[in-house]
Amino acid sequence: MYVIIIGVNNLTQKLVTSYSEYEHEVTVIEKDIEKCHYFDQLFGPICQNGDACDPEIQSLAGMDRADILIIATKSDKDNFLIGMVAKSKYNVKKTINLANDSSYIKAFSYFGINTVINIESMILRSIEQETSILAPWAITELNTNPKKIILGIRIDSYSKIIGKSIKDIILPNHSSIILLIRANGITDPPSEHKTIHSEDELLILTEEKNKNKMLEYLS
Amino acid sequence: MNKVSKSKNGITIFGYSDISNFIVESFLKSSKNHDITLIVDQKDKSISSSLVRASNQITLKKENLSDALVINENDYKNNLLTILATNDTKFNILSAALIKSIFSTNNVYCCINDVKYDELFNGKGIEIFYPWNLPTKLKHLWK
Repeated sequence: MYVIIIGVNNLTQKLVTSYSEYEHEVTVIEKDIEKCHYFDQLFGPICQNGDACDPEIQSLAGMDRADILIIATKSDKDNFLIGMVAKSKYNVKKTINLANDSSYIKAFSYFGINTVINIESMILRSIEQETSILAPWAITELNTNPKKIILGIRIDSYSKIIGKSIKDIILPNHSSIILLIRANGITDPPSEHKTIHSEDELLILTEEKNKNKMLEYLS
Repeated sequence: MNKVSKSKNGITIFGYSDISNFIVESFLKSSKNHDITLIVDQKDKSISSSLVRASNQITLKKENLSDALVINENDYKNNLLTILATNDTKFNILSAALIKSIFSTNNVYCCINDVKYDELFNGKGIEIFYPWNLPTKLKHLWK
């Protein structure tokens, strides 16, 4: 797999180390020549010096054959532009893009950036997951039509489904419990007779549009 | 923050630049009655005297343009035109994308100073233009 990463920083260093372990080919595009030299000394000649917003620099880095592009600079203007150039000119299959300001997430997604990472949202989600009673956390989104998601949900002591067996839980259409994780960490396949207890965690596959209906039912 | 007018005749122009100045003046000279809002960055201190004179005909607002809330808190859905015309091409591109993604509005024009990005929004409902080559569709609105 060919991976292009934008910018030299601690995150890039970890990513390059990790991708190299699995023998993936990595190129890093970096504006600052000194940082390029530093990285080339660490990992061998992997840096392309220049502004990643420039289509010519992207071309020199081999963007037309990149499988994954990871963009995580401090500037949302740059992050968006780099992703758009890579998509529109070089048809990069997968772009993972940092949105520093969550207000821009919608724009990134609307224009086809595959994965948008926002630190603020991740922190909020972690806090919710740790503190809230029924805050689901999205585990993954599936590339289906209609869009399906896998959610993790912790059942609190007030939930209506406590004491019910799985066969008696009526989830919205096209939704199913795919795994039950007990409070002590033991995973339990969700067979019909299993009973839900407080502090259990459920992994649920559902259509994105049914998410709220499901949360209402489980609360 | 005062909200931008939701008039169907509304035109919102972002940025204080030669091109935004030219567009505002062109609209003001035309006989057509448009509800024009010019949003400039609060750091732009030297607004031209012609724009100040025109400020009774247009709504002139100073905002922190680096704050995405300026875009999020206004409504451009029914605007006749929304034009991103600051001197910062990258700002124009990201803000045009944000407006399009939130309001699904047509007639978003984005000024860029670099031909490298001419195909960026092909088929995506945002019209890219250069300061030296205004789109005919745009000029027709004041001619």
